[in-house]
Amino acid sequence: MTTRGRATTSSSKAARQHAGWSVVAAAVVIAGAALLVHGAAFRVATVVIEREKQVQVEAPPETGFPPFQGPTTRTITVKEFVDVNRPEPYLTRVAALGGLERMPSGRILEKDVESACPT
Amino acid sequence: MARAPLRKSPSKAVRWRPWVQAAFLAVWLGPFGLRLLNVCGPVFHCYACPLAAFSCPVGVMAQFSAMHLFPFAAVGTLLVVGGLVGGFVCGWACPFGFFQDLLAKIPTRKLRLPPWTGHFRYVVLLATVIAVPFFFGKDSPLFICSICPAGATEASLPAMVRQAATGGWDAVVWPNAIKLTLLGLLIAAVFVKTRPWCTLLCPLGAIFGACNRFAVATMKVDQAACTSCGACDRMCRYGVRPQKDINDPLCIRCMECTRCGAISVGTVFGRPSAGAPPETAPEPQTPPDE
Repeated sequence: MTTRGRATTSSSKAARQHAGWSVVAAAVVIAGAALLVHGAAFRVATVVIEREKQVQVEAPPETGFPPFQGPTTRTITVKEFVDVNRPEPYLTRVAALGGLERMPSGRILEKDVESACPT
Repeated sequence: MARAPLRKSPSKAVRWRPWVQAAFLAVWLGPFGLRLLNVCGPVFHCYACPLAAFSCPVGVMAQFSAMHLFPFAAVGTLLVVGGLVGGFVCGWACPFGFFQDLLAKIPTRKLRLPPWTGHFRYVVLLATVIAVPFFFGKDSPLFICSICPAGATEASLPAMVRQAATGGWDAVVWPNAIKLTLLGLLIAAVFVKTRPWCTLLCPLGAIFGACNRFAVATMKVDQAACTSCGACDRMCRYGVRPQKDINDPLCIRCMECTRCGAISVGTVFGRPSAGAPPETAPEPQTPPDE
């Protein structure tokens, strides 16, 4: 094969690879958008009522989250989410959106205490 | 063959990069009230609130792994952003990358590590973000949020300052020892290695770096204009060899290599770079005799 022939072959191979990556890019973006919409739809379907509420939480030591390290008790403002499928407020379901599950093992002590979120 | 010109000063876009990073910092950390608390930003924008409606995508993935749930919204965000811009997020939007860039302004001699060290980022991703939370839960000392130096910088230290300012030193709640130690080591490493967190450890950089290969916004080498002089390899501070692989997963798209006229930013849907890479480096062209 001549030098010109090799160049043409390499060029067409590069073009095919380029087209392949274009398809991959489009597929990844579309798949990501679908997951994003699914996640958002899950939130809309799950969390139907939300209102501000203030609760007091106790965090265990060494949770890794600065405001809650050490044997401390904080009062914070959270949003109360209510699931239509359950009769009582369903806080942990919000974990599916990366929210309340970040309270690693803290627990709600009492509700309706006046203060604000430390962060 | 026309030789690509080598600019002495960075291009206009590169000169704007610190300002773009600073603008994103204002968004992620919210000094003007722009903090995005209810969306999953594609960077480390930790605010360490256990009741936050959302957090950085790495924190969300780790939390979900601990709950044995699939984080649809976080993964979707990463795929969309990674598929659109890939590593540009690291170089232009990440506040922790900006922090390392600022520290690196202090002139010191930087080490160049072999490119394979970048694969350690995938180990960090699989271990501390996926496996450890999945098998050992959130209370493991190696849970990513418990050791993340980005979280220490963006949330722990500001919280400590605030606590000290409002309640004195007695009111300060110290982060755990592993987190503080890692942060100290990382700050020390910034003076001997460019962006050590991004190039060696960052799980988010691992994801976006992998997207470099197919992201819509990409970089290209015009092989017809490239003379294989190696200038781009020497310009890159992250161990990437642009002439060989401009879409290397280590590339954070700082665009310093665009000083060479043969390298440009484009889209994956545009025309491929012309010609094939030369198999051997040609002799440098000399200017014609007067």
